[in-house]
Amino acid sequence: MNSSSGEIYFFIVVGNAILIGLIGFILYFVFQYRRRKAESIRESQRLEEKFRQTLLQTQLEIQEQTLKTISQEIHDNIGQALTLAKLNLNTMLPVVDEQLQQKILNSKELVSKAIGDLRDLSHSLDTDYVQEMGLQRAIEYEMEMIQKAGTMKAIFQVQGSPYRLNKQKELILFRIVQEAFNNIIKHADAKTLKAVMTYFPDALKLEVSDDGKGVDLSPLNETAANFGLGIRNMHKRAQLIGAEFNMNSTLQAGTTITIFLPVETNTDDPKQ
Amino acid sequence: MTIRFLLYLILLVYLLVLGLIRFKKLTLPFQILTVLIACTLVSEIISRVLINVFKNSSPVYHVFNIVNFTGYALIYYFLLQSRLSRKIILLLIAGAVCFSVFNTIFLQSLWSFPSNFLLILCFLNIYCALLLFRQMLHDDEEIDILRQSVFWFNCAVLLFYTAIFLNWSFYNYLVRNKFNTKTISTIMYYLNIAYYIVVGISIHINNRKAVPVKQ
Repeated sequence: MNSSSGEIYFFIVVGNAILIGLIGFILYFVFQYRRRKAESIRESQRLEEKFRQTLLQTQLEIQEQTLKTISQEIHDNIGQALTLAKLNLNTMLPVVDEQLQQKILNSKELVSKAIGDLRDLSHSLDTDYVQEMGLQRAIEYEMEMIQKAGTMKAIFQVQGSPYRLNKQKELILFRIVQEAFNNIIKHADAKTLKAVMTYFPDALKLEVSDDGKGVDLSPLNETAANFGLGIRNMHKRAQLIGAEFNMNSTLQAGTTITIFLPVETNTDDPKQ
Repeated sequence: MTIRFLLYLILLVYLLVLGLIRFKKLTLPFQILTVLIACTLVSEIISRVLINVFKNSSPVYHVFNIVNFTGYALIYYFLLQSRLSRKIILLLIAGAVCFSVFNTIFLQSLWSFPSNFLLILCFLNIYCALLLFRQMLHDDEEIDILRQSVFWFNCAVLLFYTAIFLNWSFYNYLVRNKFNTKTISTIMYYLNIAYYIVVGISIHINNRKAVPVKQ
């Protein structure tokens, strides 16, 4: 091989190497570009999710604050007025007219019942009270109220060894259960309402079921659409605390709502 | 007229027609590219006439290279968003025009091919293409990279002008050593054809609505 052809080969080899290098660079660029894009999409999704969670959290805080204010108003003003009314009725002099006396007695009973009902309502709305009582007791209390109303039979069961959760989580779970109870009372036309709390070592399962008319959960169904907002609220609340929310329903056979919350031993309160 | 030259002209005509049909839908850089393709077509036709008449087409390239340089500089001026890069490009346009005049008067006369200037054009385009790749990595563009006209255009420019630069260096070496340069000329033809095919893809997928460009 003479020097000229050696130089020619050198030119060809170097030229081709540069071009192959550039093609490699372009492929690397495409790879990097796609990787960055995927990262950027993940990041924006994370931020969106964080924003959504913060928004939901704020909504819930506002809602809780409103409920607390209503609860205080009931306790301090309406409750006070009714107590005063009851006191007035009690201090009334005995009347001769038997019919009137009976009416006074009835009124006293009605006022007493109203005071009791309002106290129960005030308690179930009061965030602090719910948090102090604990989730299990709060649900039990709520079911006692339903049972007392006499419209349906309320069954409450606890399985496993009970433990307390983080107060915020307990409150959110309680509000989900309250929403479920409200839906059952308003729409289900049920005879029995059943709530089961199952304590697993690493999770809590809450099941609320009824034997009512059920609901067609297909999105086009009008009844389902009416239910939509409540269900979405329950679902959102469950998402906020990292719980799984499921709803199953069969027409004329009832509805079951299941909430499954994994328990993190680091963040949740230790077992009682 | 050889078949490959005819093929090359047909390709240029096709791209020009495509560019003109889609002209309103194209972003400003691609509108400039379409004008540049029109200039290339005209220069190729004039150079063919000059070869037939004077056996030398170099005078065309003394003028066309300035147009080509300015065209690409403007394309990258609108594609690049960095103010510094834009200022550098504007300075380069002014400097290149001055150098071109200087080159024609003192270094490579009107009847010799302005290879000095072509090498500068190659450098500018490679530099701008790399800058644009860097910019694209930081851009927040939602369209897939392979569906972005700028990506295809930039790839074509980077590969084509690197290949042209290497070919010209090799060509000069072969001429100095009195070797046959026919193979190099053939390679350049095919490089041109390949380049304009990829440019055609970029014109075809470019869309003013899909690609936001700071203008």
